[in-house]
Amino acid sequence: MLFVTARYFIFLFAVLIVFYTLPASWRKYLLLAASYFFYMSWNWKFLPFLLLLTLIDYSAAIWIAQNEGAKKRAALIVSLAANLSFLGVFKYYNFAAANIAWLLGRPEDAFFRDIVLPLGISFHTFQSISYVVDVYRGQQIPIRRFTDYALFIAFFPQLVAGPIVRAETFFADFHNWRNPITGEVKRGAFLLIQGLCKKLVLADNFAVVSDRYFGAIAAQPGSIPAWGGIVAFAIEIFFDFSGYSDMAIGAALLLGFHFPQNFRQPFLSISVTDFWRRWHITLSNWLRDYLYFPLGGSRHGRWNTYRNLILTMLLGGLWHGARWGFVTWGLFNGVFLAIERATGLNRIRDRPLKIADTPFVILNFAIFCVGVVFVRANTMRDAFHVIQWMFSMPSGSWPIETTLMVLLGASLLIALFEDRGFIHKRVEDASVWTLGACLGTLLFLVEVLGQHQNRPFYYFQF
Amino acid sequence: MNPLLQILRLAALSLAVQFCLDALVFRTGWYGDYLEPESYAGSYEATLLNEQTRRLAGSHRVLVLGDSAIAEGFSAPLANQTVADPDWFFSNAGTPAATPRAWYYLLRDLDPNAKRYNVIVLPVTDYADADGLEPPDIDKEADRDVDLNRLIVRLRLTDTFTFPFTYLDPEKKFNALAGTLFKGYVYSRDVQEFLRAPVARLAKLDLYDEHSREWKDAYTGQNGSLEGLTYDPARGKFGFPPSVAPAVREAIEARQHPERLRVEGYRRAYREKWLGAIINRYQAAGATIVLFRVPFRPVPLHAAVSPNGPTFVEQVGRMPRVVVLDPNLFADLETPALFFDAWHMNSSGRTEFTPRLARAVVDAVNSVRGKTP
Repeated sequence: MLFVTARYFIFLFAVLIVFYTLPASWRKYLLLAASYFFYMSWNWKFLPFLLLLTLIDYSAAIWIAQNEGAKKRAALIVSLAANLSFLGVFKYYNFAAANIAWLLGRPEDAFFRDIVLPLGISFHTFQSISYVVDVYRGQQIPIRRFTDYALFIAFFPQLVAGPIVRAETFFADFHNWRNPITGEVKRGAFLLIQGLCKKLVLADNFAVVSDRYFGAIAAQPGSIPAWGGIVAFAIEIFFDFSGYSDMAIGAALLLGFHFPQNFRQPFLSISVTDFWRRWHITLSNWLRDYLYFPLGGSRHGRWNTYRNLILTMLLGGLWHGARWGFVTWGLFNGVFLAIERATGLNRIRDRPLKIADTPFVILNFAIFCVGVVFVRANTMRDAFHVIQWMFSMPSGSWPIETTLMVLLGASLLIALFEDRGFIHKRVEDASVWTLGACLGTLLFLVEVLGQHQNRPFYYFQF
Repeated sequence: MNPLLQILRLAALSLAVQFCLDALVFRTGWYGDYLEPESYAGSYEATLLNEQTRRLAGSHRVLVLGDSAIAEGFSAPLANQTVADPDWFFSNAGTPAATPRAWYYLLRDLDPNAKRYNVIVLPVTDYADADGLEPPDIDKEADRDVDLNRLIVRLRLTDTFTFPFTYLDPEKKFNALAGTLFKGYVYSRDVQEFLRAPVARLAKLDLYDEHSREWKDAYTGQNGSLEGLTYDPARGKFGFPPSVAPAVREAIEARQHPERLRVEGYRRAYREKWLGAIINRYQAAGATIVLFRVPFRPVPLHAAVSPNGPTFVEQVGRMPRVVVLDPNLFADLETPALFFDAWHMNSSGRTEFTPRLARAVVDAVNSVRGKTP
């Protein structure tokens, strides 16, 4: 059940109606049932797997809270091992098998297994790990009721592709649940439709361009098609994922849950360090708190800091996908973070943008574009071809048609200047009539300008 | 205020605005003028417009309906020339991939009072209501997606409550419902293509506006031929001459599977629904209806099914002013020399078939007149 389909909207609408009709004490059970229904609508066979993992982490957290020393550590290890081994088998088995086969000089698929990736595994395992580690660290009280914890893991708005919500955030809303106020309902509805518009009108239209380019790169040599293709992909993934996040945050808000912001004008970053504070924020924070800090962070000297940065991003890249392209992309970002740290260029912009920042913004966007070539290209060889072309003398023709250029202009304006504080304030202050007119217009744009091929969100593959 | 009421109010308001914008652009007929003329909907609109503006003459105004088999195989000017009687006038509404459901909606707008034509000629592929006659993707005619695209301009708001429910598959029903209610979902690809090259589209539309009827009337059919094609029914093997393209070979082979023939009732129910509706409409208006088996493959299928009880054609054949032509009347035309691909007659086939159909229609109508007290 894709977020962009009528089926999802009917499902969400039905859940909202029943949710607000039921007595408050029953609502969490409805949400749990709806979340499992949502999960099973993809592949019901994986439900026992999700339940088993939920049970392991739920029990481990209680065990950790009740014990000290070796027993406590053993429970943590069991939980981490369960999560990582599930992730490893489902997500990385074939990647490892292909590399072993290559080392042994066997065909790439010699040891392949027909493995289907369970829905949202990368996200819910990270959420579970953060919960168990927080309990271990004493930063989170263990959840005593199994169904409460199960809802935290399976809550349908964020089950598939985040945002990665911490237990602290989720249970703050869960335990002190109140009806969303009028402004929150308006904001939730707006985010839901805005996300739909971002995905179908912007992301999917640019996906057509990037697919066309990366599907036949040899047919379009030269730097201009290469930049056109990769800019289209950059726009695609930004609107794809930020659109998904908006829809998840919006749906949760309509149910009275406040999810953290996941994107904050990432294309206005003035450094790679700044970028990772603005792009997929919940993942960046997770990697920082549960990987970078445990590795030592910046506490053990310069070289160890650089190593930790590179290692964190490398593993972050691998988390995105079991391909060398993702690993290289992670390494690429890690190296840039380390260079910025070494040269003092790791500036964070916590003030309005100035004209003087423009060169850094452009440079940073270019670095982002070069990095994501590894994510999008079908093979490493293709990636290096594209990068080689990107840095050659201008040649070839621009692959984005005139009409899409108008959309590109609009997209860049939205991507650059989407100031959530400003927009959300206006949404909350708008009358129901004005907001209804605005949402109706957005829906009409989706209807006419959207791509209706039910293309999955890019992050669903992770 | 209860959040649910707020959500419902906002949802209702948003959908109402979306519906109004959609209606403004797509229900006022404004966008219909800019449709790609070669698209399913565009070509159907052209057929409708051409026939609507055609001046009919004589007391026997014959409309031949059909899909590409008729568009390619039948020529109205040649039929008129053959009959050579000012009292008779043939028109051809055959449009590629048009189905009986599409014919029904075309006639509803082309001939709202069922008075414009008094002879309706309906082609059918078989008289036995056989399912599985065509490859599986169009096995159930009721589920053909393309009808929604083709008819989008013709569908009215009131059709929201009927048209979607004529599909069998729940997913297709839902898509048809969404498309009938919010037409932009169906038009979206056309709009996007228009926006990509607006100047070229406008120039093409001008050209089609000026010449499409002239082109249609002057069309003499395709020149290619499958002459030399052989078929061994015992072994089920074809022998193709070298001139036959691989795609045509594949299509011919894919259509020659007599073992797929069966009677499951889907085709019969579909015919009852749509051909039945057309027949009832014109019967009530006093018109004559002629049904015939159209030549639609270069090699006969050499197979038959046993229907359970009387077939649709047998049943309507008993009705007054309905004439069913001999099923083998055009069987000899299903021969490679008269076809250019797996489905369509070539110009020679067209020249052979048209006069024979025209004469058969004239005879059929005269026989009905002779029988009428």
